[in-house]
Amino acid sequence: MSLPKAYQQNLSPQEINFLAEQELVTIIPRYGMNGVQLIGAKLPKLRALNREQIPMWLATLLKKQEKCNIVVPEWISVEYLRARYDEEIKYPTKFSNLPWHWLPIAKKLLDYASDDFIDPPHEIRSLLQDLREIRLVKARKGIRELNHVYIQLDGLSLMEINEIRPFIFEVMDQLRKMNDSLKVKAEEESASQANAAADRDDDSDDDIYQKD
Amino acid sequence: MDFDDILKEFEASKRPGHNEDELRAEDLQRLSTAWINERMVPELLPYENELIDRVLIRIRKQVEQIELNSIELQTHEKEIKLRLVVVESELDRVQFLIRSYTRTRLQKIDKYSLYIRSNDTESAKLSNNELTYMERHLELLLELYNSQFLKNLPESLQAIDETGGGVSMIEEPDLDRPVFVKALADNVVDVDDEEVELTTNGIYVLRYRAVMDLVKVGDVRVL
Repeated sequence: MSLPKAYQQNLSPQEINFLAEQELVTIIPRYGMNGVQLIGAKLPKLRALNREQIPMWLATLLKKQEKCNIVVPEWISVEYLRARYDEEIKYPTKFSNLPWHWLPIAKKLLDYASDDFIDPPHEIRSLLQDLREIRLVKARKGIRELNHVYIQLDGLSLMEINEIRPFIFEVMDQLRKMNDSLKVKAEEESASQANAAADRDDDSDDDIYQKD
Repeated sequence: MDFDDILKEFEASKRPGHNEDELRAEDLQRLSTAWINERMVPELLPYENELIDRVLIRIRKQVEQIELNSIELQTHEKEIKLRLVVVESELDRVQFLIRSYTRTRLQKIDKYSLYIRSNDTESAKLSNNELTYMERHLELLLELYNSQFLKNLPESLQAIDETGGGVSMIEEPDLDRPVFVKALADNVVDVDDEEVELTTNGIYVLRYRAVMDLVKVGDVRVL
């Protein structure tokens, strides 16, 4: 089959990583390097210590070759993440403001550029884990609000959305079908009531089913 | 590369307000979006003809470039090597997008062949290659069905596109299936006699039918 069933209606975690790697990060080149023409935006000419913004996949590639250092984004700091964690606790019905790809980006940087971190990586790691857990609990509680019309999930990131997506699809679809069948039933009932009324008006209309 | 390709490139580079580099970046962005939309939405979307053509031309040029550079590699120049790694990694990424986009479309085309064929607006969403593929695939499939079992059934039961009797045998995309979207503008949509207000940057799950027009004009982004 051209597309496996698990990939229909859903993305795989690898595919979300792929999307996250398109996000831009700032690097500080260690050496100079000529620009490279690419299919997308070209890699600009790099000069040592001159900051450039390039996509994440390219930054980690250069980092692996020890050609650059990565400027860890402001939000990957103990202070920022702790503030978000406090917010998560303070507002039990809201998700705090984190980047669209916070999970994969933070993970990738921890894996490939932990020496570029200003705060201790293990503290960041455990804060990320705490945030992830508290948000997961919230997302699951939010599922109680599910109905057949719509659900609003502001503040969730793509990875988090993708995790609950199959479940939400299934539930909403079932609710929709139940609701539709209720509607059909209601219509049938009102139609049969109208028929019954018509029957009463016209007694000569023999109805064998009502004779008993 | 033939003359048409050169013309297309030229036309593309002439679009106002953009330099070539921004245009390339934008095209990749659009390709990603097209891929996600195709993956997440129940119906087959119109084929992104011009976009795919432009990207394919660039892929071909890039492959030629790699071959040229590989010959020079004997000089053991480290920088050339690194540059090649960069170029090849990007090439892989773009090719992945194109492949996954195509596969997603093929899956829908296989599933809804009969429906697409019976409907002119639907068939217009296919590229020429996809149309040829669909016809050929359907032909093979029918041949198989016929030789395997249909020929042994009574003639009145042999049709595979019966629509009578309240149940259609032609499978259509379920437009009421839910999708995840992010609102890029404020809008109000009707879902099942209820009004749902979409606020910019809000993330919603609702049935595709309610937002399909907004997806097409770009007021919501499929997630």
